[in-house]
Amino acid sequence: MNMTLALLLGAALCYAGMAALCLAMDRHHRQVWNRTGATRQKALRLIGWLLLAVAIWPCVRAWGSSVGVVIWFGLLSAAALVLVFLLPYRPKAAALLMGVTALGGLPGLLWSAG
Amino acid sequence: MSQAVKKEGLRQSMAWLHTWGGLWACWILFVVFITGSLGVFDEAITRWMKPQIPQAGEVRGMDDGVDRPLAVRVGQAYLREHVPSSHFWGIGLPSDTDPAVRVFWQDEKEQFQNLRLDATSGEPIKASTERESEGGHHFVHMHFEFHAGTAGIWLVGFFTMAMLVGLVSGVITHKRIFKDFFTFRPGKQQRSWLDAHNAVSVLSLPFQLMIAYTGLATFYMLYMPAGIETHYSTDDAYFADLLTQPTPREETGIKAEVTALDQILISSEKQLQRPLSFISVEHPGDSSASIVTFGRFIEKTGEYRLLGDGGGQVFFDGVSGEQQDFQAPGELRGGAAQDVQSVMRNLHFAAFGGLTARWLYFICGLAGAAMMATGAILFMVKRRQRSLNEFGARTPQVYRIIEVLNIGSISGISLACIAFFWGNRLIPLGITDRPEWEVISFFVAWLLTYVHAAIRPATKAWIEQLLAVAALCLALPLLNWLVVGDQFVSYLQRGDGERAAVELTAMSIGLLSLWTARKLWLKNRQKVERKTPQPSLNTAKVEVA
Repeated sequence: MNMTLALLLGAALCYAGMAALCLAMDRHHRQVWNRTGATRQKALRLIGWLLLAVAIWPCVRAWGSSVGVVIWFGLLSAAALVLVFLLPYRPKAAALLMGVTALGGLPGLLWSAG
Repeated sequence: MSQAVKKEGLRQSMAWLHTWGGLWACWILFVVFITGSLGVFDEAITRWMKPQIPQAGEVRGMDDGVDRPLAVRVGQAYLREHVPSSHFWGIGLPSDTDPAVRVFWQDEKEQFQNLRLDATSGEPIKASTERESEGGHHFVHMHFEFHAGTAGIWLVGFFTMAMLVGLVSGVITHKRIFKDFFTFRPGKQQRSWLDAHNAVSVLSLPFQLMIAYTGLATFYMLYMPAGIETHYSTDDAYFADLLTQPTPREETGIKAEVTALDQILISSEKQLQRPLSFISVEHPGDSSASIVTFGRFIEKTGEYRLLGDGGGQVFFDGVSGEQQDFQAPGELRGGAAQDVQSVMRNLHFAAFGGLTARWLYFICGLAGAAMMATGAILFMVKRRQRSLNEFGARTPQVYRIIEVLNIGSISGISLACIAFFWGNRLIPLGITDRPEWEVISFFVAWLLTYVHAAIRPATKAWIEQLLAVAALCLALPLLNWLVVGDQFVSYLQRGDGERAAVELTAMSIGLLSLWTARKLWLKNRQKVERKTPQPSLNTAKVEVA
């Protein structure tokens, strides 16, 4: 797999996954939607874990099974750091970026696999 | 009930350990993390600092335009003429970051000496008219030994252990690690510093644990020597046994000429299918002489692994030139434990996954530095509001010392790092030991930041040093343009992404420093205004409310 594409997909999916897990929590859900929402939070939590799991795929495809996992860990940290410092200043933008990265990342992943 | 008390007791004792153990360690560790992060890009920095060397190219295979047999002859001739009876010779071959031949030897006091020679004429390069530089190696050496040799490695090792203690005690102290996983609440003083400290630490925790542990594992021979010392007479004997290499031979005292090393080079390169990087000769001039040649480490793009990326080695008798052993590039020896150690070392060195891995290490390394900085600052923010009187009547003086050490070790070392880049461009060409002067300029700049922190009020010292970092970082391309005639735009036009990235990264860090300094300045002004109430401002506030 092309290295740049793998990096973009990995980073996008890691961010989307981290953001989904984050917004599944009461406090952060309120930051964006001003209230809690049990169904949406449950869905976000499930989607979050799934996104983080599939983010391994482009990393392993591009860097191999050993280095790919290291890259995945690095992207998880980097994505979470971006999120944690974006969220308090621009909560809506952080949520929007989650949508964009998830909607861009998942089809991108399917397209690159096909 | 009793269990609850015990739990609280553990958490409190861990909090104490984290606070005080962390404080003393974070000054050294901040330096280790900043220089380590920069060291990830040591080659790019070296290229920026030496405009005379070509820009990074693709792997060129055997032909890189250097007459290596001639370079070896030049090196051997120098060593034979000047140090015929040394116990060790080494010849470092020209590489694309250094076109010179480097010769190494052990002097009568068993100290290692080295010298750079012109690769064709063989003349020692003492005071070249080119921009001789320590380059990015400076940051790597600061990172693992503070330019202090074995003592420095022990120092860094000790504080790395302290870091592991800090990480574990920190996780125990942090009560709501999962609840606060993504929490950062800016603008709330002490709360915000604690949030930031928790966030950067927790979110990069896998990296921090890995980098500390693998750093220690890299130097296992130094840190845990007992096992080897019990079973082997020397480290070389241990390695020969572990890696099933020819055993080191005792000196015989019988004089014998070292074989022609250029033939050894040609034979080695033919078998290894790659250029050599180094040739070592044990006991030159003695009949027990032996030679080892080392293949160049080649970072391949598109083929990434954590194990088996060695450049290969070939072993020869030093007098007859007869080949004794051959280890192909990537061949593994030494069994599972040795392989695990190699993986750990490779994990630490960040050369296993191309640019992506390097940038992720850079980011996570800076997160580690931020972990140290936020921790140290939090310590003082907490106590500036209300003294905790840990040191009785002496408390204010101790706090002042801690504050000065904080400033010099955080903003001060950052200033010294960028000052090193300025030193590279400003120190006159052609002076003797130019690279040493660069390193001296780094240490002088660093020392001055402590002096500055000691004579200025704390907040002013922070702001001024951050502004100095910002100014030096942002003006770096200008300096480069004035002195060398290049800057990031011209680099980019030539497709020299490495050198351009050095300046672009410096400018980003400059902007970050400027932003931090401005925030501090605004906050400080607010505080001053609050102390001297201004009626107009108060009414304005009421109106807003």
